[in-house]
Amino acid sequence: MTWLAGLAAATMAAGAVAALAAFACSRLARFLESRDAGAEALVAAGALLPLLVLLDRRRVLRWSYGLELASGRLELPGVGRLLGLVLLSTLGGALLLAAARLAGPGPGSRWLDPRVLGRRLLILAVGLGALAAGVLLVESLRLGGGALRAAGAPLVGIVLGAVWLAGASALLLEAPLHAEHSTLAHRARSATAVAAALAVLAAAAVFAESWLGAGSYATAPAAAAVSVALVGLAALPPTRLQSLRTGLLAVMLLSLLLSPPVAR
Amino acid sequence: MKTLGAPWVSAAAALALAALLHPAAGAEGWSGADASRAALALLLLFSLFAAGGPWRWLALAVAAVAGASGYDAVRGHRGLLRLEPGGASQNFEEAGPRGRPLGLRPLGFEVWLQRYEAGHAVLGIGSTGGDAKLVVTPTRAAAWGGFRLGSPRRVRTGEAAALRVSINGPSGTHALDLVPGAAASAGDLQIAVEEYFPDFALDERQRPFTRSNEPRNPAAVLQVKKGERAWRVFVIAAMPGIHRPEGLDRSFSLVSVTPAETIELSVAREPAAPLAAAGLVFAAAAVVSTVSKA
Repeated sequence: MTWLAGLAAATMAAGAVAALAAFACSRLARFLESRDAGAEALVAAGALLPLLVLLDRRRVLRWSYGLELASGRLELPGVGRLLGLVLLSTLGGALLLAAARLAGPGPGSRWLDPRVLGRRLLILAVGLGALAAGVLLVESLRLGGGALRAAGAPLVGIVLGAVWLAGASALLLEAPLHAEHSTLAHRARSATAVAAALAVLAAAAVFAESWLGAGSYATAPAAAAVSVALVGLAALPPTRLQSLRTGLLAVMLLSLLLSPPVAR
Repeated sequence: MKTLGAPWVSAAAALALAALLHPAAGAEGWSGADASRAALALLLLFSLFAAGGPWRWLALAVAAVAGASGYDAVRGHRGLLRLEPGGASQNFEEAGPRGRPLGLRPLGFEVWLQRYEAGHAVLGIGSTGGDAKLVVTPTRAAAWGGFRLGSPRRVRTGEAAALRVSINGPSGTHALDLVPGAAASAGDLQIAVEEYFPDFALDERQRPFTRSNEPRNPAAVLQVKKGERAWRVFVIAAMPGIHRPEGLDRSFSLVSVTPAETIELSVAREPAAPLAAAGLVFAAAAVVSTVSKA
């Protein structure tokens, strides 16, 4: 790895951290404005579900998970079962919370409160997700370099999804939140700008690396990096869907860092 | 002007341009991709400019990057240089948008491949540079005459360097190595390669063609002469001894193929690249200014 490639990777990692911080501040600011923890939990579950479905080419739907290594596919059946359970409990929790919202604030059943059951299922999903990530990490470390590289992107996705769901579940449990809306909104704006600036700097580093290394900047890595920088620019304007745009920037930076496009 | 400068316009234009630029979107195959990118870049530029204040600095940076890459797309040159070890060339195969071949373009100097080892190509430069030598590695390109040469790699040409054929006859089985373009003798036979298919297949009209340059299903048509008589013999590695020519007491099998390889380098002349890089660095500073001044 050349020093420019190292600089680009470090800038992308720092940009992803800043974008994730901006995303968290943005969601919390939104929660302080609406005081609707159920909506936050539904958004988190709604983001985690497609991630789980898309993992390993939708194989989690068949209770299976594996890593594509240079030597061939390596099945990890334990991780597949755990991820299948995460999918089911997240789906169940989200459906129960959505049903409770649709039913309105009236009194629920004496025997079964869908809000409580939905909350418990989401907490179960967080625990199972952490367990799945742990097993995947241990297995990848045991297998070595190639496996760890192959598991990197899904592992980060599962961990981030579980952390987001954990945060939303904490809001459902009415965890104390010592922050003000204006402070969080300001922090979200600043962190978004830092993330976008770092995404643009990372694009400059990848651009220079392509030009000096491959002889041209018309390469797939440079195009991908400039594309992510544009997502950073798109996150800046003060308009609607702020947290969605910031979250997209974080995802794009992480995917560029963990699975960069091949030059040719 | 007010609508053009609305925040959602610049956000939407930047997102759409990002989607069209990302390699995973596969927009390269779409003929309208370049025009759409240019239109979206202009929309983003005007939208940022119309937003006023610190956004105009960002518009300036976007203009530098878009202008530089547009200039290089129109006035620059990109393509591939293929060299055999010891071989020389004064031209490269230029490629246009979406990899469309544009034919040969002169380099303005002669370049020859002195050697290729462990991914490193050592090039000699001809008439203008005397004994000048360039070393191109997978991680470092080299510049000469306004061009940058990089990414040296060994590629298969789709031709065969040699074919090993076994001949089965009354006196036993003999192996013979054939080099395309040269005839070889096997007893009373003269054998030459007429046509080679690295990945043989038949099209819907039963005409032979090759599906790829990789020797996945190698086959060849051999020209066999014995005295005044001549035969065309088809051999395919997957089915040894398939063809026994009428009037000849031998059968032929294709045993193995040594694929012909060449060294390929990417060639580019991108005079506006430094401006584009400077525009990106300036854009990072402009991004920070949009928040600090907000």
